[in-house]
Formats: sequence, structure tokens, C-alpha cells
Amino acid sequence: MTERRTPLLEAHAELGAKLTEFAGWDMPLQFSGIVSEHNSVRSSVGVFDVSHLGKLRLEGASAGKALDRAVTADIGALEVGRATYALVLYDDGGCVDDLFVYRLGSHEWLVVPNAANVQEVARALVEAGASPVDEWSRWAILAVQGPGSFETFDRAFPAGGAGELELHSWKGLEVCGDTGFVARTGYTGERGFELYAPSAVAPQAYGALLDAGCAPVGLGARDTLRLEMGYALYGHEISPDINPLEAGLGWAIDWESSFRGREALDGVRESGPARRLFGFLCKERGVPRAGYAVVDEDRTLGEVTSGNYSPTLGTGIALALGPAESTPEAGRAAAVEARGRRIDGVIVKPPFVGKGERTKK
Amino acid sequence: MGESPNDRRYTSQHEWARADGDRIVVGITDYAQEQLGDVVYVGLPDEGAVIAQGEPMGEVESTKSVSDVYSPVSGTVLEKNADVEGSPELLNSDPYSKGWLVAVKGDASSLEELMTAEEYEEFVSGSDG
Repeated sequence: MTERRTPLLEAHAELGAKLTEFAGWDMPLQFSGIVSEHNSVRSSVGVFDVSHLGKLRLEGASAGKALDRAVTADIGALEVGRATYALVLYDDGGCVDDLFVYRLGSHEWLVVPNAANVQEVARALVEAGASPVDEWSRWAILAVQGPGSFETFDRAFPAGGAGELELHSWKGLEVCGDTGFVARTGYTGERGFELYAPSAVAPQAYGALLDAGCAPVGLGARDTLRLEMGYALYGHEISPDINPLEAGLGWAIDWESSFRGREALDGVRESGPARRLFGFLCKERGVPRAGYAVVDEDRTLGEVTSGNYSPTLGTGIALALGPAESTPEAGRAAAVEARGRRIDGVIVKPPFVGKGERTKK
Repeated sequence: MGESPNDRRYTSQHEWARADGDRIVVGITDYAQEQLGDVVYVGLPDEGAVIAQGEPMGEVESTKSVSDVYSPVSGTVLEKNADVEGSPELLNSDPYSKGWLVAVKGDASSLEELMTAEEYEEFVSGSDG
């Protein structure tokens, strides 16, 4: 396999990034520190390089129907200029991946899966009758997120008119003399954009966003930001062993359309999911981690799928998956077993951080 | 990375130990805190706990990961740094002074087996590649 590399690697090095290997890519884990980067996004604006995300382009008269068969969203109803969240499932209802689909033209779509799942999603698309082209090197993807993102993006790209975009829509944009596009999408819970910049001009576009006031933010803070919002992450809340109804992603299913895994999912819908996802908030010092048991006095309630320290709340938070028949109600006392120690806390309904707390910061 | 103070000894696990009268004060190095990133939890042994050189005595957790802290000396814990438990960020801002972890009653001569500041810096520059 060709070595995959973000066009911003040199720029990250100049900014003093600590890199981490992620699905074959060297990506920034952090710059100034995860907590301060996290707080920049909650209080002002940050820019993330997420160029490692997959970029599978589909084109042709039959591509739309094939895509519709492969993903859980209603692709037929997706208009040019719009984007949608969707899942790709196995026959048994387990998750291949979650992704975004952008309709670029009347017969053209861009599918953006997780970096680790590009091959598996491409295979699913081929099986559905599509011919995806892996355009990983064509774009850099820059997520500009935070309450100040609109003003900042306008300062960097004054003629862009990105501020007029509705949530989950996109428009073409002149990026440093080349053509890209910008979408109102993100993974932080803050308002913001994702800029698709042609790779050749990506360093210039990155520079323009930094000059306009964006703090550089790494994948470490991307994870703490998404966790505060209770957003699912592949490999944690969704996986081949977890179906979307267990993960609380029923809203991403178009029950009017047929797609791979639909029959199995109908069965789950009928009988109810075997497991449910719930939130846990620490009431004492400590950090829950994936794999820790969530317990009450006398039984195990579930297992942590993602856990970390919440910089906004100043305490540990976790998403956990457990048997549906014993899913604890919000407000109930519970604990996580952390390396031989119990961290007391309470069951909560995600998101952990609401709009109010975010705007206060 | 900051200079490693000469008044103490260092381990390959990136802890330091400094003789202070009849106590030995223990902490983690600047390199260790730099590698950990933002420290958000510190778990320390209580007063009276018996700790053994090279064995885990506590844990330090950052937004990235959880790590054991290995004791650089054997002995009995006289005092733990309650400030660093309450404000774990002290480990990032001041690992050699305000970010000390525990004070131990033990054999100060055992420190001589550990690395000097100069040896430790050489060790770190080697392990950094």
C-alpha cells in the first residue's frame, strides 16, 4: 500500500505538533496540549487536520442507486449541495463504519469514511454495484470548529460566503487560487465547517486559517470534544459487533429504504436491542477508560466503550454499553472499576456537555 | 526539555529521587510529564504504605493514557503530596519542585545505584532516537 501522508505534515512539524500513527497516517495528536486545545474549540475556534478521513468518489448514472443500497440514509432524497450522516452495515446488522456522504453533482457523490475503514467501505460499495475511486491524495480536510468559526472562516476566505450555509450543506469555494468546497459539518458539538482544500494549496489554506485566529488542534482534543457530546466513534461505540440500535443511532436509519443489513435490523427493531449505550459521570477523581466495568452495589451494568477526562466539566466521563434489561436510569449512583479502584459517579444521559455549559465557557 | 537538576538521581522509568535530610523525596521527570501530556489524575500511596524499588507505587493519568509510577527507592511513605492530587497540572508545570509525589523513609545510599542528571539526560537523548 502506498504510504499516505497529509500535505500539512511539514506545517504541523513547524508548529511543534506531537504526531501519532493513525491507520497508516502520521497525524497531529496535540500541539500546545489536549486540554488547552479542547478549551480553544469550546471558547473560540480551532482548526483540525482530518485529511486522513477516507475520500471515496462515486460517479455515474447508477452510482446513486448502488450507494443507496450500501448505506442506511436515503441517498435518493439527498440533494446536490447537501450532505448526510449514514452507516454501512454487514448482513447481520453490525457496523462496517459510519460516514458522511456529500452529493457533489447530479451523478456524483463523495463518501467520507473513517481512515481505518476505507478498504472495507470501498468493498461494501463495490458489492452494492458502485465503482468507488479512492481520492485520498486529492484533498486536505480542515475542520474549523468553535463559536468563533464563522467570523474566523470569513476572515480567511472573505469571498466564500460560508456563513450562509445551513447545517449539513456545502458549497464550492475558491481556495488560494484553486477550487475546493466547504461544508457545515463537524464532530465537536460546536458550530463550524469542514474545508476540502486541494492538496497543492492546502498548506496555504492552513496558514490562512491559523493567521485568521484558529488554534491548531490535534486528534487528542478531537476525541475529548466528541466524547463530551456523546458522539459515537468507530471501534468504540460502533463496530461489527454492535448494531446501530444498540449504539442509539436509530435516527441515522431510513426505514423507508432497503439497504444491506436491513433484515437483521428489522429483527432487532422488533425484539428491541439486546444492549444499550449510557453515560457515566465521575463524582470523584479518576478517569474511566474503555474496558472498565460499570457496576452498582451488586451487579455489573455494562462496560466502558470510551472514557476520558472532560476538560469542560473538569471530571471523568464515559460512554458504556450494557444489557438492555438492566440499563440504569439517569441519576442513579454507580461506579467504574478502574485498575482495582472504584470511582464513584452517576449515570447520565449524554451529551455530557450541553449548549448552556458550552456558551458559558 | 528542561535541565535535570543535579541534586537528585534518576531512573530509566523517568522518576527522580532526592535526599532531603532523613527523607527521600520522589517525583517524575520533565521528560515524563512531557511524554504524558496534560496530567488529569494522580493516584499516590498513603502515609505508612510500604513501597519497593522498581515496583509500581502509584499512577499518573493524562488525557492520553494511564501510566504506573515505579518507586525509585524502597521504604515507607512518610507523606504524599496532597496538592498534586488536587491539582494534577502541577506535574506538568513544575515536576521537580511543586509536583513532587511522595516523601519516603528509606536508605539514601540506595540512590547511588540510580543515574546522575548527566547520565539521565544522555539516556533520554538516546531513547528519543
